[in-house]
Amino acid sequence: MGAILDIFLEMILGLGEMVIKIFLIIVPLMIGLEILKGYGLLEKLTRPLVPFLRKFNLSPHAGVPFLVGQFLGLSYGAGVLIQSSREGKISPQEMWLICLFLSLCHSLFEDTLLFVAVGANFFVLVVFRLILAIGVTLLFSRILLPRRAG
Amino acid sequence: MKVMVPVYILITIVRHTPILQWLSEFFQPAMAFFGLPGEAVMVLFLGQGINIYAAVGAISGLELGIREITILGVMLTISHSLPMESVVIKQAGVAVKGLLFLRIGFSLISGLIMNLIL
Repeated sequence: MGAILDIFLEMILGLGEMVIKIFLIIVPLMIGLEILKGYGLLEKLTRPLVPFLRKFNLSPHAGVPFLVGQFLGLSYGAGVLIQSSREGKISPQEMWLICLFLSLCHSLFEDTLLFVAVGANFFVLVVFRLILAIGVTLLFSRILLPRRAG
Repeated sequence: MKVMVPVYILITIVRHTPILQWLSEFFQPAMAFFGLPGEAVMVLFLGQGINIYAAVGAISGLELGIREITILGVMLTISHSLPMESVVIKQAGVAVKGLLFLRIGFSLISGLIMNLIL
């Protein structure tokens, strides 16, 4: 009986600690993201990205899905991407490259902070993931699929 | 939260039964490549199959160090929620199989690299 009580106590204490930590990190983040979304700030942030996108053979139209994916998550990023592709702004090859980058690296803050809440190193997670996604996407856009997107 | 709390409770209970011990021993040799204990295989499965919240719930239920949690974090941020995210990619009209293969592959490679450099 004592052992079961111990497990139960351990569970309640551990749960409480986890839930509080996650709340303290995720709730302010969600509020911040809603503000970004509400004021359309992401569109404004895409301009400095254009030269960077060109290195991947991507047009400036890739900027919005790219940023939305990083800040708001894969579903929103893909949603914006579908819309841009319906408007004929993005070629199939560009679509694939954006999906490649976004599947390796999206929700950069939410995903990372969840692990940070339980003890992971923020810097290692963010830097490694960004380097990997940039490296792999460059590899495909310049070497494996070098046809100019058009 | 809906996923994380039940996973945490389940893992805490399972941790006190021999099930986790069996799984742990079975996967120990494979997990050693990533510098992780055998029981961390649960975190990887839950993260890949459900989502990051489930993985984080499982991490809190196990006793892992900062190094192990960071390695798991790198592997799982690169590749996670595969059933759900595959549907999202498919909706964008992009072939899923290749991307899935690349994600899992790079997740495993990253785990190896992290074990070497951390």
